[in-house]
Amino acid sequence: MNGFLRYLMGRAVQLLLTLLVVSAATFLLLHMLPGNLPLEMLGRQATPARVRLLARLLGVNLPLATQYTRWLGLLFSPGDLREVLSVTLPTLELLSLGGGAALLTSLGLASLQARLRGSLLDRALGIVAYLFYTLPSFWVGLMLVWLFADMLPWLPATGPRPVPGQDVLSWWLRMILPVATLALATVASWSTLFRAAIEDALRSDYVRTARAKGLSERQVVRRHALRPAALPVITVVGMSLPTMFNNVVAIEIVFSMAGLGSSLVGAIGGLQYGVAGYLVLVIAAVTAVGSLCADTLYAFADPRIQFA
Amino acid sequence: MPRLAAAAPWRRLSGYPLFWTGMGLFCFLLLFAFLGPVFYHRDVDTINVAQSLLPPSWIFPLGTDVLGENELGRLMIGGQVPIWSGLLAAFGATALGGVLGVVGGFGGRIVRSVTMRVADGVLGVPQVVVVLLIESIFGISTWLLVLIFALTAWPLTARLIRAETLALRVTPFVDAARAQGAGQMRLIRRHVLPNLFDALVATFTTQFTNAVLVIAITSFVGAGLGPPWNWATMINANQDALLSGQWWLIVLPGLLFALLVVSVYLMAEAVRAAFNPQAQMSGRRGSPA
Repeated sequence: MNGFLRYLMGRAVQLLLTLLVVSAATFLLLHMLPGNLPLEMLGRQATPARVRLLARLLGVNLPLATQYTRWLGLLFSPGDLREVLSVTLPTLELLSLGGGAALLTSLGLASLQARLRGSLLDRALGIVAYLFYTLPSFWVGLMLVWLFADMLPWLPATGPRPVPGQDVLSWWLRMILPVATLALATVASWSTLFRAAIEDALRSDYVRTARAKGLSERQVVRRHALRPAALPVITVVGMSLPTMFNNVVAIEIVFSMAGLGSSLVGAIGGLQYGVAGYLVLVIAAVTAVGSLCADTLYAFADPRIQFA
Repeated sequence: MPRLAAAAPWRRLSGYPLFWTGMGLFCFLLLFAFLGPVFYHRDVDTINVAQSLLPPSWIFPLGTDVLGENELGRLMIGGQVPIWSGLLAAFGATALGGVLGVVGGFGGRIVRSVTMRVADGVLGVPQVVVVLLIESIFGISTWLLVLIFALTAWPLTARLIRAETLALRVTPFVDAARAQGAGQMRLIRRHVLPNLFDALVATFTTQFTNAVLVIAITSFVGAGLGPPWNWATMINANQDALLSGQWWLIVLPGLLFALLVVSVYLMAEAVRAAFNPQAQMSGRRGSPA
């Protein structure tokens, strides 16, 4: 276990380094914004003396490194943290529910395809999955709204809203379409990769042994091929987080949900660059922590990995 | 690719029906988006609320959109940005990733680990987020979008190319060439690069799909930031038409995105199959999928 801890520490250090680089890049980008901040803040009341005073208060003439550390310090003020957390949680809910639904669907699909490989159904499923991969997620979301909220008025067209006292049933109902959209956008690429992983496992010696001792194809896939194939699955899921986030931004807009993506779009639309930079950092942190979790899980799941 | 058999892949390629399907689709989209507007541009850019959301007619085969503009004409122009910037972004990302992948596989120990650490870091940041932030600061330009995509998407290609390069590095034929005194550059040019062709084409397709989708998403959510408009901004502008009965204003631009991606995919898969001596496709069924 000692080696495992050391591995985790190494990964955590790497994570911090990545975040430091991302934050520095974001800070520099924001710094490149055109315009004289004190002058614009004062507007019509600007006099040279006032501009100088405000410039000193804001610290815009300080060395870049000092400004950066000040900015970093501001990010951790309790009020801002609470506000950011309130938009991070809905996004995490969407990500985990969508990811979970995509995982179950694509594993089921992939093992079905692997069992029926070469058949017409296998090919048809592959083509349908590929088509969903090529369609923009926001378009798929709009289509789902059109079908299941407009033509068949079964489900609400918008995602859950951050209203206090919202009942649980309505929350789940409102989550169905956004989660389905994210899952559809993700299933396509996952099921293809999972299918390849299962097929690799099916070609292995131990599967031939399992077949030779007379197990049914279903048992072979379920008990012998699925487990080793789960390892690449963990990696793929971890690596898909940035792509899923791309879709989350679109989905939060389509279903007018509160979250990191819609807040970012709102901040940019409202020219609140400081908020936008903050949100980008949080998003980078979420994906980085996600991939760290995936790597840790991988290390646990693969008995061959030794932490020497 | 062996030199003697240089003509064979092209001959094989021309025998694949799916290649011609992809080629046909792609050429259709090219003509539709770039030649079409030259001849057909009635009311494409004239806002006229009086004729908003007209049903299809002889004058407007696909009706008009919310602002009363000719939907068919706008669909044509709306394809330009996804096609050219998608291709350019994918080429940029593939080229950059290819170079850095070979460097990451062939370089010394420090070079190798630095390229991969940088790749890991870049890969972790969602592209839509980066594009939105940078565009909001420097203003929207399609060139900028292409540049950002290439600079953020290369690790995907670099990882694969690096893995392939590392595997090629220890193959007997590379060893043999090295033993004959071939220099590093010659090894890479004559023995490694030709064998990376398949992987490069494969990642190009992935990059193109991702580029088109990233362009689509950023255009869709960032529609308030301004031009250049394309199929995605059209979907955003006409969203409400979906509920008032003009569904085609939303359905068609989305399907055109898929058509574009599929056409490039079909061509690329056929090229891969034709140039890969191990994977022969039967000429008749010609299924690269």
